Amino acid sequence: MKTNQVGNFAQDLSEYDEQLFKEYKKVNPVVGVWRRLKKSKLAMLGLFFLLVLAFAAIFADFICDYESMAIELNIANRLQGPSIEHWFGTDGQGRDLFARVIHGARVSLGLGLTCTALSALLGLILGSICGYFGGVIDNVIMRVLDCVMCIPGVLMALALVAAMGQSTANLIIALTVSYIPSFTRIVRASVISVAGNEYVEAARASGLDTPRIISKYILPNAAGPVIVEITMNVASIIKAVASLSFIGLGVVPPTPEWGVMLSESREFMRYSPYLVIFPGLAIIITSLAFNLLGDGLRDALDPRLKD
Amino acid sequence: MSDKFFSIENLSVEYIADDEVVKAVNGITLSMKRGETLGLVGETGAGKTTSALAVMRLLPPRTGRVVSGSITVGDIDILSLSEPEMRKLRGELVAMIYQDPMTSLNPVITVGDQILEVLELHKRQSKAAMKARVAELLELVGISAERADEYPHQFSGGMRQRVVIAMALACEPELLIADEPTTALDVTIQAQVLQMIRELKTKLNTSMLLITHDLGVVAHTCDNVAIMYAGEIVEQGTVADIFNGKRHHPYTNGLFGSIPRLNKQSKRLNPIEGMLPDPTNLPEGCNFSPRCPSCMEICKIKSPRFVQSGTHRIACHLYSSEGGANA
Repeated sequence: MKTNQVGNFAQDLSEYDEQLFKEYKKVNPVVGVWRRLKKSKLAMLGLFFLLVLAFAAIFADFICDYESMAIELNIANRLQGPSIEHWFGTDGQGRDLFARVIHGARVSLGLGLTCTALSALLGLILGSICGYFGGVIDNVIMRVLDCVMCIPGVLMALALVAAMGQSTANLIIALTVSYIPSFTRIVRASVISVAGNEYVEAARASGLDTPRIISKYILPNAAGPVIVEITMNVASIIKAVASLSFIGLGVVPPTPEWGVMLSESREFMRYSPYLVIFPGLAIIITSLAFNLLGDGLRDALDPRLKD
Repeated sequence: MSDKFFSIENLSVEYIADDEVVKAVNGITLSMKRGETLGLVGETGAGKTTSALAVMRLLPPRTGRVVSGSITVGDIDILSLSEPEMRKLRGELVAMIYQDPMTSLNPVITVGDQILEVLELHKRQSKAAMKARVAELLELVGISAERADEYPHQFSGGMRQRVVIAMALACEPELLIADEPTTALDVTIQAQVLQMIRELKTKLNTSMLLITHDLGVVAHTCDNVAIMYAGEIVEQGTVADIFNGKRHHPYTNGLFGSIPRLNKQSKRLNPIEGMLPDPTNLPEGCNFSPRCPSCMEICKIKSPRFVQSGTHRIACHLYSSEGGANA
């Protein structure tokens, strides 16, 4: 009788185990992160704005024609307030502001993502070298980057653009250079913390070589903070592009760029405030959206907050 | 085949901290035949893990270094190999099982892929053949093969340790170093894992260096035992020598005195007084002399040599001619 009960109990337990196992089975880490990210309303708001912006940037040509609406001057039509025909009004040269804001998204997002991708890539390489090998290489690289870092980003970019000449390529180089140090530091710090783990030593003990250890064992585990840094950096690079264009060292007019548009609208600000409000809003919303998403990602990627 | 399969001769390892030198291992000599299990016993900080890392050539770069001695596995002189040559041997000739299964698996790779990776490195075959081997290995350690696609966090501690063992055995290494493989597991799982290690070892005829501070585990698993204290081996012999022998090093007596016995009435345990000596500043003479209950004058001046009787060796003046004469 008694043994029978124990038998039943054991069977129940194993059935329960089986159930747990089935529920557990399909959870892969990316799905887990997405599930946690979904819980944050602000992050979802940010993501929504970014999707809208991305949509606008990708399909800008279908929404408003670039040449006729965003570039061609139409002096007779200048400084019209917002209306059905021109949603955001027209600027001092009679160009449709809505078309320029939409096409500006393409420039801003494009520059922001390019510079971030480049500086993240270089930061990833330098940071993993520093963090994994340490010693003299680490010291040399980090001290050089400290020097770069003590000059404020925008000032640094400004100096580089002034020295190399004004062009989009130089703008990208300048911004990339000034954002490398922060990436390198983040990557280095998380590589150091991951490299101390026993599974890295275990990997070494089973004969893995350094490139494999870094790419398969260290970087995937160090990715969390880096992803957050990437989203935050896009926002700050977009602002930097706008600032540089505003003072005339970034994107060259007549390219519709939000900073350029702000700068051109300064003289009309008193009578046609919408000329600064719309591009300004575009800048604010974009960088806010990236920051909200970054915050949400930081929480979602925190391993201490699993489900 | 030669008599000794694995041997360490007079190995010394130092760690160089900012301005001090930590003498972690001081001239240990060990040897093992093929298929044997040698237990390396000692308290935390005695230099057990350091010796193991020296065998794997995985001492922390820049701080740890082998000062003297030689290590041979089969007929390969481990310390003379270049780094790429050594890398080939790790996992194939010598494999290591780590102490904590919770941290010794990569959390972002499925367990199947982690085992597969070792195979890819050392025994490259077709993908299907390697996949089949992974399944076989998992079944070998008692995990159903369909769980190969899961991540480490979906396994319990005991299962993870079995995965780690499967990984270590993937290429059928000739020497297995198990660094406290059961310390992080609870007692029932510990018994399971030990039982499994023992069976697999016999099946594959692997030699094993088992590092532990648990004498129960030693009695259960090992053929030979070496007791380590402050970087030196103080007593060495077969399991029978250590557990049933009449003469012991005072440190070994102390270790046994710290274990509660079921069949003996005793009010209190007798722990060994004092602490391990500071490895940056080892005492003169015998390292154990400051804590030794039967310390003599000579112990504070001269470090003892091994006294051999059959398979049993003890490094203590109590049994040496000079010490005996003084006593």
